[in-house]
Amino acid sequence: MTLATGFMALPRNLLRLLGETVVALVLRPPPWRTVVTQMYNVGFRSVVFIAVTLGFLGLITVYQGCIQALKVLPDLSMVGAAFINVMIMEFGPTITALMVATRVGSGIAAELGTMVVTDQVEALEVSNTDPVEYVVAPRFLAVVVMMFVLTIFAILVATLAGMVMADLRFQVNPHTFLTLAYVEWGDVYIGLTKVFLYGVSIPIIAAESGFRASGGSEGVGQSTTRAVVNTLFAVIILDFVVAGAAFIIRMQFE
Amino acid sequence: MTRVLLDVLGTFGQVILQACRVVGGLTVLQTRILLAMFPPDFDYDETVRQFFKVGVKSVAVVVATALLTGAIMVIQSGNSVQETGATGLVGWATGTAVLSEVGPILIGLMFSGRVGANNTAELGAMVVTDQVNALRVLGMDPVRYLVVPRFLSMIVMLVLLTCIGDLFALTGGAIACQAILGIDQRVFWQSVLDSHLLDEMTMGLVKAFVFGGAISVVSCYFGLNVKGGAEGVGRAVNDSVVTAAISIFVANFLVTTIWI
Amino acid sequence: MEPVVEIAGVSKLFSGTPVLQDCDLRLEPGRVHGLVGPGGSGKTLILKTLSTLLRPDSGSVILFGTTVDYGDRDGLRALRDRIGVQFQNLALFDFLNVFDNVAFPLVMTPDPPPTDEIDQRVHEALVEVGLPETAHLRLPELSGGMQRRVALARAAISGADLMVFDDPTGGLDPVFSSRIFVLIGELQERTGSTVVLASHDVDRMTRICGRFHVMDQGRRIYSGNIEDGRESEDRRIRTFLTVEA
Repeated sequence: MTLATGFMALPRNLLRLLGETVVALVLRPPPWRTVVTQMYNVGFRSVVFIAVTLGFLGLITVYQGCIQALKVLPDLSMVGAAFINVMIMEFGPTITALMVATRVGSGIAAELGTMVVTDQVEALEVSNTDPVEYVVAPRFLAVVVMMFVLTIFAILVATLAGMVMADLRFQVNPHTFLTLAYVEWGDVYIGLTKVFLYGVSIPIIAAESGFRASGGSEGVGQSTTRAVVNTLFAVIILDFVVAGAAFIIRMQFE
Repeated sequence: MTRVLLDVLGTFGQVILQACRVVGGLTVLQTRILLAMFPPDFDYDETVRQFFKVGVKSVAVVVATALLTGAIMVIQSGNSVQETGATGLVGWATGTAVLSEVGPILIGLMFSGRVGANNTAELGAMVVTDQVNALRVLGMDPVRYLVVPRFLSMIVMLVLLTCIGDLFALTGGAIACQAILGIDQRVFWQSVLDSHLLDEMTMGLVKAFVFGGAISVVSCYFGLNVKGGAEGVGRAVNDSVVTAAISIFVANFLVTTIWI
Repeated sequence: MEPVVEIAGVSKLFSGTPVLQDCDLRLEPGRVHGLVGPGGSGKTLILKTLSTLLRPDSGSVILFGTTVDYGDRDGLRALRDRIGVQFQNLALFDFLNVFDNVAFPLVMTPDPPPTDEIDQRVHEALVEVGLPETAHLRLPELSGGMQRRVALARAAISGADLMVFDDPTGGLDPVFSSRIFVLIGELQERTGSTVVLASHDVDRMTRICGRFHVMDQGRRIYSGNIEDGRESEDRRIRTFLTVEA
């Protein structure tokens, strides 16, 4: 019984926090300087991390892709096109979001958790400052915007790495590799939808976890780890939902 | 503008220095772990406790992740299947991707978030409250008493969980195949069986072995090196999951290129 | 005179354990109230209750003659504008420097005073707590005792009608503790505000507190002046009011 009610309470809390954040953003938008500082933090903290992880992902995807493709196809002329397609609609958004969840999500939870256990949130309240408006809203906006920027960056890095791998190991000419032949607008919309939903959910889930922190440094540690698992899992669920929904919608049209 | 440029350059240098320091620290810790294991001299009871803790904590999240991963991969391959009509290839494409690459990586990332992050927080809290120093005063080596049990249990458990995960990923793929692609799931299973994926699966399990080792060493290193109070623990957890993610992607690349 | 704070029959459970049990408290205006009691007796919780930060499970809280309605946001806002709090955990914002921390209650009011007035008041407040020249520093650069004084300055800056100090001298050396108590006494005399402070330092509290309230196990067990308390029939009250810090 308690498990079931706990299970239902989480989505309700998340939706309420999302609502409060959006209302605060619309009614009392944060000063743009604060948002820019937060965007700088988000981008700055994760840019090297994303370059390394997505670079290696690009290398290995092309490597495996070429080896597997050679089993069923005569040549590798379309490997680049398929690679870029899957990067735009699947791996680019999703793996970037997993990295942002790891880096930025846990950071937001740690920051808010520390504020809760050291009574800073109550100090805000007694000064008539809404913690959602003052702390969550600027971070939320920054993550939503930066998710798009970082995903584009990630796709570029992965494609560059994949191109080098294709050229050096499989002798696929960069001209042949770099083609948008398989990319339709529909794929781009799917990718953008994913990026937007990931950007909305990561800061909200992380903040909710931080707000629930209790009791000293142990509580901050717990809320941070909870944020990592919950945001990672949310990204995977959203990926499934969007991919499935998009596939079904496409079938209706064809 | 110059400030931003200097910031970028400065951070670049800091990242490199920090990376060197972390790699050095991880190597030392790994060496000390191996020294403690051969000949075996570590805490047996704590090892058994850790096996249970790690396994129980992560089995649900691994199963859920695997189910969704299989389904996502089936949907992805579904696009090209729709165009070519080659339904027999769904099982092959999904099986290869899930067993050899995507499955181990995603399960590894979730495992790092669940077990690795928790381990860093736990060890970090022990450091902050001087419990680790108390162990040292009692003449107990933190590596033998705390780290080796975690190292062993994470490696064994991640390999076992990936076995379970592989099964659930294929099941998730089969369900998605029937429910979303509208292809009979028997076609999917037949295609998986026809593709002879034992080699891919073995490589995936070798990856799980390597990831488990990397996650445990990284999470113990950051946990034992916490500085400062509550804030320090939060920062250590963050560093730990980030470093673990980097090692997962790098190790994944190395294992695949060496294997094939 | 009408009391500033009137708490009646307040109870609170934390995961099944009662932490406040049918507790009541009356604070008359314009004096320094001392709150004493052993650790875990509910001092911090009753202070949070009268700062509107803790919502009790039952009972009523009346502040400045208004019953606190936790659903009424504007009503809460109006009450909180008249309250200044120094938290036991200090609760200084680590993302702001010393100046911005102290200025926070002024800046966050509906119509903040002009910038140079804020500047002046923050500097005066910092000088008062013996921390001139620290305005630009970040919090990690300060010692624990200095941070405690910054928190004190922040609680006092807006000259609120009700000022709450939770253990203002914890971890401070005896000389500075005396100074902090003198400062709080002067602050009360100058502003005429109602001050309530919780501490274990009964000896120094007697110099400024006109009235004492003793807490034990989530209940208020005594209110009155120190002399009567020290001659009370109840051994607990006698003990808590005579312990040396």
